Amino acid sequence: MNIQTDNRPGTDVEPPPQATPASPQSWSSDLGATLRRLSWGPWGRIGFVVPGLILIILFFVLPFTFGSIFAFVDWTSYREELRWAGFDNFRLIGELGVLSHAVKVTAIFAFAVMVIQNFVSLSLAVALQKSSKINSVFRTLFFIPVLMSPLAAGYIWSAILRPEGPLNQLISIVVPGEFDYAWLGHETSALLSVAAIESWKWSGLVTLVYIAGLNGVPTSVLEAAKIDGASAWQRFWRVKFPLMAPAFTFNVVVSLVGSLSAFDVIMSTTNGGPGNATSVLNVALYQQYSQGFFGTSSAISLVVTLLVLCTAVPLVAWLRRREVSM
Amino acid sequence: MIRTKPLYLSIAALVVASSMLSACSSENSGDNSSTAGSRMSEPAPTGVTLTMWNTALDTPALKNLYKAYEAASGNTIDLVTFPSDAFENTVLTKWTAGSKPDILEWQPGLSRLAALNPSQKMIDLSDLDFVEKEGTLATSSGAFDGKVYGATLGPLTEYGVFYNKKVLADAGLQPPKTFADLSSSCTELRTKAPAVAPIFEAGGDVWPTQILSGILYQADSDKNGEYLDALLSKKQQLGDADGAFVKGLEAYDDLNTAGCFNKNATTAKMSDSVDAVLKGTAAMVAQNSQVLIDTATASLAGTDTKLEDVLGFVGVSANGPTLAYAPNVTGTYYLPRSGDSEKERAAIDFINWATGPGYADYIKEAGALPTMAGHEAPPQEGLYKDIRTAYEMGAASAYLANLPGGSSLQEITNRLLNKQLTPEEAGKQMNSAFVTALAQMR
Repeated sequence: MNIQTDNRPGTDVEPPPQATPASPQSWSSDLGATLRRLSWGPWGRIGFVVPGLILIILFFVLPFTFGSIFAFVDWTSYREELRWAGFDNFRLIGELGVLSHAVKVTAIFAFAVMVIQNFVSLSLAVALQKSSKINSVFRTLFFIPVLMSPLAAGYIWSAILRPEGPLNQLISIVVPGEFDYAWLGHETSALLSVAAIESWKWSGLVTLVYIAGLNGVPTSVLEAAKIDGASAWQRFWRVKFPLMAPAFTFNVVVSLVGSLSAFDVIMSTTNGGPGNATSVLNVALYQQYSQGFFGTSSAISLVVTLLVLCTAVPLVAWLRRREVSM
Repeated sequence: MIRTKPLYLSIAALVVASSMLSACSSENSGDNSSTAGSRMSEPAPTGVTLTMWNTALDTPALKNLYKAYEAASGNTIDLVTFPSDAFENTVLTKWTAGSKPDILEWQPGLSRLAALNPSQKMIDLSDLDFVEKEGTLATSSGAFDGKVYGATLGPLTEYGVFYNKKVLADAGLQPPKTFADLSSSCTELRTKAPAVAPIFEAGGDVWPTQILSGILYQADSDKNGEYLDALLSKKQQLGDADGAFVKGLEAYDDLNTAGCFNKNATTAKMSDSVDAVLKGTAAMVAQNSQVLIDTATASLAGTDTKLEDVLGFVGVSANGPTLAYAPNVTGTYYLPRSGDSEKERAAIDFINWATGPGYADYIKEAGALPTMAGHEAPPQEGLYKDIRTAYEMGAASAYLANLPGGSSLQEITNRLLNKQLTPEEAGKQMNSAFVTALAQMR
């Protein structure tokens, strides 16, 4: 079997030819062996952890801690004094109707993103799984949105979705009469549109993870299923999908949790509108902040964090159990 | 023992946070009693570099004013210019983080001024000469708690209805003066020019929705500030079903329900509204003079078309042709307490010069109506002539600029446009925002 043309995991392959001392493989092999021989000891290992730990403390632990404290402080730009407020900030945003609405919109948005993103990306991954020149081109094309600025993506899509925009012009070719639906002008279609844009933005990354998951399925198992008479559909759902459970876990959690913190795409497409139909928690937070109400803004921030934790931890636990049971 | 580490961490975090709170609280707690006038005995310093935070909207006339001051005083103004669309949030963020300029260009009016905590963070300008010359504008646009903190050079911004002259003439209509006129013009236009949107609304930018519903309608109720006084003294509430505010929202909602707005009213942007009224695909748009004229002038650049040949302007309110006016962020200056007495004194010198010896040249170059007494209005040209005529027919200071919580209105009227709120619900929500902001000020 030729190792260059068949890289399917789990396939029995011949051992690689012995590298000559001057070849690059030899260098890397020697370096790897040297590193393995080195005994780092506990302090050496801690040295590797420290940079990451510092970044986490600086950019997550400290802001989260202070932000959490400020959620219980009466802090506005109107006054110099800061006062302990207990749960008053939460009560205030509750009374103003900001909290319940934003939590509802955020939950719908995140669920929609999770479904759209995973469905589209899994389909793309199946279509683009095999390594070929054409598939490489398409993988690159679908990955480009990941590299774009979310604001730029939002502005481009808001132009595309205008009533007189290119999307409606395209639909008008098929649908009789002038099609001028304002996609961002109605509550439901606006929320689904921004969810679709957010999904599109990150689907390239999710697709790559699914492709890696699909390529991790042993070929021998698939061949055995084929010999047993399983159809292509059965091989996908009964064999591939359960075996790529870790990729599914990762993508579901990342898409759901990531979209709970969405902000930039929404601000650049709808500004939270029409009305407040797409005002997710982070948009509501921004609106409180821009009025100088930093305490209530921190309270919403804490709600976002709690929502992420309360969603991510049980979800990961459940999906990991599911992986084991599969 | 396992629990001790998180406990220590929590205690440490609380200690650090408490230090931060106290640091924030004690910051700039300097001598609040000194006023700008009491500093006038000190000689004005020269050779000082003053930092000014300004908006990118500053006109060439204002930039020339800064240069003229530099030449006259020997001081230097170091401009830190922020983009106009993020101006308020950028300033608020830096301000809250403790950073301050020597001169701040900032929104006039109680609502925005209060958000910067002027009584503790700004120099009291009440006893400077310009206050008397600026008259009631000084006590309404840059004042807080009975003290004047801001100097308003102008130009003022006028809110009213801009209309396409040809579209109205073709339909045999006169420019509207009241909301009843707007409604009847809408009905006529829908019959005679069905392809034309009678009124263009730009909900995609959020803020334009407050102009027709929450600024223009109430203008003739507040010609002498009586409506704002009634709200501040709680004789009236924004949520009163028969009050001017809810009535304005109802009139706006009626126009929306009657199909008077463009089809894409909830997503269209301000620039779309200017294009539409210039091209005649919309008959009218409620907008402020600075934004509309700047955008329309840019749009017509390179053509032979004169703006005043295409567009007219009229004041429209509930019952009569009253326009609403408000000072602008451009040309309104405050002096933050920096703690550096030399720079503070030089900043006071800038205000005295800009409102005194430098003012006549500025007004002449800006072509704006003077905000200081003792200056002749320069001849008005083009569309500004129409605006001047409308101003003379009736004008009221926009109450919204001095309404605590006024910045919430745009979100509420946007929801009204989208039919997420009834006028009554919108009134109640606005009243909640007002009460909340008022409580923060006390």
